[in-house]
Amino acid sequence: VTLAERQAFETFYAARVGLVRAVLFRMCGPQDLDDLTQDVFVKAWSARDAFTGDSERATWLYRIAMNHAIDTLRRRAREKLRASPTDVETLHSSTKNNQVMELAIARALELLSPEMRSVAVLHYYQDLELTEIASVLEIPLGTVKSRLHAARQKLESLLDLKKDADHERA
Amino acid sequence: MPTMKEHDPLKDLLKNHSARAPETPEWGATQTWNKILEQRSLPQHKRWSWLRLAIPALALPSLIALVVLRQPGNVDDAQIQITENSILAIYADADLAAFDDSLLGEEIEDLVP
Repeated sequence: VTLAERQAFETFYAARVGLVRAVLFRMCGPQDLDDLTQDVFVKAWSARDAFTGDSERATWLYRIAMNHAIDTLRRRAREKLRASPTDVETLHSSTKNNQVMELAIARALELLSPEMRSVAVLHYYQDLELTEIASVLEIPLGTVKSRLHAARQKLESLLDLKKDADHERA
Repeated sequence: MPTMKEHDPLKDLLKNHSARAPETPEWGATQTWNKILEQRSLPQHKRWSWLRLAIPALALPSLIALVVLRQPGNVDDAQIQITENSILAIYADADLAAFDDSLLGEEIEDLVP
């Protein structure tokens, strides 16, 4: 282990930690965020020789973070740590002040499947193009579109957005 | 669905009303680097990783074959524990830096009848 390698890691970490934490936070919430962040960087650094340069380095790191997040969500689901749907039903009918809306959005995201949530997070929060999302998740573009459409329908329904739009039009 | 260039009320709502990730991790680069070194310092056979998958018993032979195929250098070290509807594969991960267990999960799901 050389000093140069450590410095290279620290530079890599500093440049990407915000991106990794943002993705993991949207996917998995605040629970174990530090652990998950550390795991992703350990995995990424250990696997850096496998980075071929076929994709952008950010795409490659997104992919590692997303795979880790999806694994985590599946593990949590098996451990039955998922939120109850009734939480959202109660929340979105409440007044829409910021805190309530933040909670409602967080719960609504939790209710998406890991596959739908990963597409929604990369599109709505990370502003990735659909083709980039397909590359990160290694799925066809058509699958990205169908998952995003399904995610949008579910989020709009959970957050009562369709009713609001109808009400404004009336 | 709005295109990328169109105004998207759902996107606005999500971005403007979502809690932000805490910016400063409790463990920064130094601690993460130490964890990398800690893993490297372990003997290869001590670097265990694990994977537990819930699958029907019918898919088990295919899964075991897949695990063995994916770990040619570690077959002797691999420990596989089978229960009624799940499998716990424990393997030394020193040669598995690029091993993508979520991909394995996907493939196993495809095996499910």
